[in-house]
Amino acid sequence: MSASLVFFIVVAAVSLTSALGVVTSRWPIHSALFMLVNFITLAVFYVTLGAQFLAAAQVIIYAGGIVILILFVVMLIGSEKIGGPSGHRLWTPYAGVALGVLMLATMIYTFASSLFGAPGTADAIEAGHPKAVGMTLFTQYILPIEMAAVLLLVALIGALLLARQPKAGAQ
Amino acid sequence: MVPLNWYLVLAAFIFSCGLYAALARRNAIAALMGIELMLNAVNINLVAFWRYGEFVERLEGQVFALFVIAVAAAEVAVGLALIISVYRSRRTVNLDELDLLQG
Amino acid sequence: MGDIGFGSLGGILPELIIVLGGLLILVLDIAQADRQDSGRGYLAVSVLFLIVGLTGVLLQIGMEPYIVLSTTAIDPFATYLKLVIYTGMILVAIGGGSYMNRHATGRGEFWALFLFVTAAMSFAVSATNLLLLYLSIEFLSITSYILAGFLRTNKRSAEAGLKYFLYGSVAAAVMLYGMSLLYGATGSLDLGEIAQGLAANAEMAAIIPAATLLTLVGLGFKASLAPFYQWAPDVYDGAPTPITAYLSTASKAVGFAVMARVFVVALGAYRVEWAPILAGLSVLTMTVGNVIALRQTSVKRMLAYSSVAQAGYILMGLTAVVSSQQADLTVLGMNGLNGLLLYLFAYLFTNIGAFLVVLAVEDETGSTELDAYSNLVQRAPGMAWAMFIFLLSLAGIPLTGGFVGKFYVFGAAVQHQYFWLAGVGLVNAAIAAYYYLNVVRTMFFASDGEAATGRMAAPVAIQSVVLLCVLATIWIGLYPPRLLEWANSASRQLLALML
Repeated sequence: MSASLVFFIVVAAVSLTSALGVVTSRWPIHSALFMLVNFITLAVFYVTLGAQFLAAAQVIIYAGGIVILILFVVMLIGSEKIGGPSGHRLWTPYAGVALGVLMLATMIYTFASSLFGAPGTADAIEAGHPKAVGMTLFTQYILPIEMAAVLLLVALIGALLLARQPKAGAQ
Repeated sequence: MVPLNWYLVLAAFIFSCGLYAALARRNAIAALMGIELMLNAVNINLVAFWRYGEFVERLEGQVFALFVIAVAAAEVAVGLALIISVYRSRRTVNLDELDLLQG
Repeated sequence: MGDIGFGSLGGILPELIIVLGGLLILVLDIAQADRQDSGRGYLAVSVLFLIVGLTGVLLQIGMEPYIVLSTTAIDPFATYLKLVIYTGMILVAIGGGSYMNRHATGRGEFWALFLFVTAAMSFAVSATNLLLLYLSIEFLSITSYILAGFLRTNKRSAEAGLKYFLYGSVAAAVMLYGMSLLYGATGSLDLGEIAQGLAANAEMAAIIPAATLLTLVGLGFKASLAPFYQWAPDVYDGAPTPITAYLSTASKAVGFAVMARVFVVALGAYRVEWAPILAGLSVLTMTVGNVIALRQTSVKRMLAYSSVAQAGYILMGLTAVVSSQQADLTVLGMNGLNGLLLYLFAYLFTNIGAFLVVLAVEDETGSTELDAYSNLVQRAPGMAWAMFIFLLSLAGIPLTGGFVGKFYVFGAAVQHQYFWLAGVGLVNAAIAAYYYLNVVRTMFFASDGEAATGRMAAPVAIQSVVLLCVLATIWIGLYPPRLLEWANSASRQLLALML
């Protein structure tokens, strides 16, 4: 077994464990920390796949931004314990488990037919560099990137409006 | 090199975990974290498909993953703001207790 | 890639104008500083920009299809849907604007978001690339979550926003997973190249069912199809009524348009597989919507479930694109898709009108329950008669727009040998007529002694938009040749792209 396979298995094990941790933790704050671990393992995968820029973005935006934001809100309001079995909604855990397992089974069945078994051929070392990514972003995908800019503006305005303390006498 | 299938199965597993959390957790913030897991699982798929595909030089999978990250950031900001807004008026983020709209 | 430059922006000029309008309003709002403004100015600016956008789209009618910035198509199909979207948003802005101005804090922000969401819908119907498609659908969704929860001091509005967010994000993530599989199978994000890629290597067929179903979850969510409809009644009920009006018309039209484009252009080769799935969903959607609508006591909620049921009829149009006997697609006069497009236009006027009547009654009585409508004809004869026309149109009575839409989708279903589907549809239409006419009975013949408590004075803006909707509903009911021509050319153009 080659070193890259062993490396994959180790990181994947951490990734899977942390994903399970997010789902099963009783404290929202533990879920958030497990999620942080999960996001970092994904960044490791992106590096091994040759997408260095994406890995950096993953760490900066997800691990550095989104998880912190979630932690803030958890500490602000949602830090109460999510109890044992009653921590779930009445019928939805069964639906959730059923859908999750169904989904997993379908996907494994689909992928196991070894349609995609062939290992990659092309050398992607150059392709993950910020320069190449930037060229693609600002030529072919110029319209989406401008839209994403407006979308972030919208999210900013929306978050400000919704989370602001309502003024007395407003309405 | 690691076979593509391994990445896909890993992604499917994380996606299923996220789907379960999003559907079954009753704390709105926990459900939101499930949604984030789902989006990240898709990103593994996209990057792996890009790396193992025929057109490595076209970078589409990577670029798509970047946009998914951007959208996820916007989604989290708005979602958390909505959660805070509900918490202000109801003092709870438990989805079972949000039952004004039923019937 | 040589088409990047200012010259290539001409095609998306209407959308750019709308986005600039939104930014202008934000700047004006900052200039206002702390002084509270009535919001009328923003309303006027928004309507002005929307009308300029609509004019731009009208000028694009009849153009040869072409691609802008390698991701956006300017073609008859997109142009037709943009007409639907802009018209709907203008009606909602004029009719519902003053309600939002009175109840919302942040008026400048509201109008900016309103314009941004219009641009997002516009991009969604013209996107030919999965990336832009996903981005614009998410843009539409995220803005809609904010707008649904906009009245923060109203508990129902906040709850509607949160529920919409949770359901919507899960559906979008599932759709994204499906898109990633399509990308993996073909190595491309362009809808046309995906179709070619699927045709080129047949061993990818194993991945297609999964990819199709997962994508359908997200798009079906936007179009409120069963079994992804649960959010719709809650959100339509809890959101501010003007927002409900656009969510149930323009936003739903986007769901159907994107579904049509993805399924016809990218997955056209597999039409024999997906058509039965859509037929099943169509039957399920209309039945579930109608059966639950029967039990509602709130008119707003009844209209919400009826809007789910209407989605079932509209889906019949997309199902009937494919004949069970593989007849030539484009020669048939009713190709299903033109029925879908006509239905969307007729439904737009009818539903926005109906929700505006609900808004007027809600403003006057503070209630959306059926009781608030008893003897409406004595208090506000104009509103009552307008609601009567809208309900007839929703039920599909001849000489209204709803009839033309239903006629085309049912006709296409019969022509394509889906007799059972048309049959179930007819039974459902009969059930629906019952609860629509129940409202009519309350408005005109309520027996209880609740006397007319003076006349109800609806604002002039609502009255004029309602009048416009009545006229348009009847106009479409009289078979306008121009509209038919647009729908036909739009549907032919899209179907011609099917491999």
